[in-house]
Amino acid sequence: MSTLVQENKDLINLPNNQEQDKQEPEVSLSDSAKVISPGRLVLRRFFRSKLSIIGLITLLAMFAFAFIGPLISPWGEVQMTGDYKWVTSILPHQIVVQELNEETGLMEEVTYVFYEVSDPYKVYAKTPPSWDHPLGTDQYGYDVLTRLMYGGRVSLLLGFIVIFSEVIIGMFFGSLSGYFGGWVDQVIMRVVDIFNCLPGLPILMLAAALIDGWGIEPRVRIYYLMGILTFFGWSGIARLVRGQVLGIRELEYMVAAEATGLSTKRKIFKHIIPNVMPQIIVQATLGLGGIILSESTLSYLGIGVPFPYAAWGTMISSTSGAEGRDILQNYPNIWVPAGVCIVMAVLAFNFIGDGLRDAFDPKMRR
Amino acid sequence: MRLGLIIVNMIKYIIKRLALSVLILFGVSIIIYGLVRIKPGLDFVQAKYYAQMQLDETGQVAQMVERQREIYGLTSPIFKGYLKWAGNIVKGQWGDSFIFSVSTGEVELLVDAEGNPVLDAEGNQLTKPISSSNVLDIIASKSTISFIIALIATILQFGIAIPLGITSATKQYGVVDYSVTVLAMMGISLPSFFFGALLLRIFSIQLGWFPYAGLSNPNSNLPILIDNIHHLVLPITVLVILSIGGLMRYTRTNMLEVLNADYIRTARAKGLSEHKVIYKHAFRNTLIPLVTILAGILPGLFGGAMITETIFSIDGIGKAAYKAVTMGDIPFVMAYNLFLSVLTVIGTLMSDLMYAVVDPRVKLVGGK
Repeated sequence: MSTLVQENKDLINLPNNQEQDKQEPEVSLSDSAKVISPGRLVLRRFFRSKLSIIGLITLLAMFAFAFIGPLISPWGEVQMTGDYKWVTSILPHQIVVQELNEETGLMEEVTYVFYEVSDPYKVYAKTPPSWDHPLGTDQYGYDVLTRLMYGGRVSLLLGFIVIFSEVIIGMFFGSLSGYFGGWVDQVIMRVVDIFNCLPGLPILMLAAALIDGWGIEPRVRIYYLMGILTFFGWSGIARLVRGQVLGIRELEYMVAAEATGLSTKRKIFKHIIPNVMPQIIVQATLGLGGIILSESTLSYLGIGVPFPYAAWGTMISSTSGAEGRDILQNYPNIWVPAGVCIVMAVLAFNFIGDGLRDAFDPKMRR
Repeated sequence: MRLGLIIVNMIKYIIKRLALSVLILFGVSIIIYGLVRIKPGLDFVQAKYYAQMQLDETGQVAQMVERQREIYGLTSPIFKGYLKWAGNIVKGQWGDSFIFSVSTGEVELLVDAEGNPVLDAEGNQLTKPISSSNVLDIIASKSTISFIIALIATILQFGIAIPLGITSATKQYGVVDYSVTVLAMMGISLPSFFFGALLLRIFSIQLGWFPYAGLSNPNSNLPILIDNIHHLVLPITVLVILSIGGLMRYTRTNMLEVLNADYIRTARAKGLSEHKVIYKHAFRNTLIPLVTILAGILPGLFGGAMITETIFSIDGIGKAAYKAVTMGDIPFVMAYNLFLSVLTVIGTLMSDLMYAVVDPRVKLVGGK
């Protein structure tokens, strides 16, 4: 499967370039050509696309932000920063008095409105951006930038763990189904059909809400959340793997593998799985964006990553409802960055996934 | 003779697909029921009425709880319970919501303890409107507004996405193509709750162009329809922008595939105008794969948009489902999930059948 690619400098050595030819001894084509492995070829094609480079850089930046950032930040995830602002509250009062109208000489009702202005007092929450807190503090007095970093940590880690489990499960059932066919295929594919017909978000919400009712402590609940996302997400990968395996099973080299009497295990793991890997990697990358979206939506609804822990979705949920109106209107520094982070992470995964797909299979370019 | 064969094949195919759909729904219901049952300790009905049962001395609450548990088969072990619950579902007894009730439009005549009608001062019998908490009634009453919104959004979505997808395919790697691709990506990547909040912040609070929430404003002097449309601009924008990306990419991919086909080269070689080649020869063939999209539309049309409806306070089925989840109204959430699954299954069935009708290359193989 190695591919021959002529380097640019070899053009000089082509026979029609007479002057050069005289000075140097003739170099044969096979000596001057460089062998590039398929992997390098894929990488080359991947880096040729601007969008995938943008995606990769964004993703690396997000990783640095989420995993190195908290080490640098002086604040903790659930640390009251003690940052405060001075607030004066203004309370309007209204009184109605009987007063003599001098023009008409009659008693009239006159309404007076006066404002009671309190002394300035300290409020330890929702402080505006400052040097110490580049994005201010939120309604609990936590540093927004630091919460953003920890939220990224949760989202990215959770996304990778979930997609990894999904790939393992999907690959197992998909390859079983595609390789053995027959009733095994029938059973597994019907189960996959069932999972495909479940409504995406509502069923996640049902499961998450039920687990919410179990009264599990927050730290453990994140693992349950991963479990739910995996349980309802593996079917897509299983279907993809099955389709690929069905095609590969009929190829000549599989017939050869059959003829050499390899064991089934060896045929599946050494000969089939490596050839399905490219499609799985593409699907997994694209799927990561979806998982981050699901997780943040659940967190937004209050049934995802539980409270003391930071999550991007939770930070945006502070805008919801009547009590969130104030934050929505006056404190974009609390919720807009979180949304931008979600969009950037999901976009990055989508760009990389698209780039990988084009790189693995240039014919499939969309 | 041939036509008869086709019809027989068609019927066989439909029956086979129907059987499969029933099987899938069976599986879906097992998963939903299993999810509800794996909870350790008190089940959801007991948990809901726990405090009331402690205070209750007459035993009425306990009776009511037992009746409710009966419907969901919670009194039996899980396997028997499932059969009981599934039987009730088939019979149309989907249970009662904990938090919602709708007026059924009927009235109940009030009678006193001895069975005599209760009369008011003018001698008319007093009546009481009957309200129902049956989840099916609630789903039916709430999904109307969701359906209207989703219908408008879907029409707009197709009307915008398909032409854009075609343009970006015919001018591949052009400026239009790149901007469409990036826009589509943005649409796929934006979470609805963030996009909705952003639109509210900018267009409703800051600029004041659109109302903040709800469906109509009682103080508005606009005609009711215009007022409703005014309220729906932002939610529909969210729905359209978020769903347009996928369809646009899908159209583009299909169009590119078709444009590379031999018969397009033939059409061009014949000397047809480019317009004719694209809209008569190519576009019609891209419609075939678009039929599969139908499967996804149906649940979207009737199932509501949970997040968008909640953000914009539209009293549709999506908002109801959201409220049910946050307030632990498990009966409603179960019914909602089941309802959506049924819609998905019907949608898939319809798209399969449509595919067979639209694409003459698809052969229906029924029976064996």
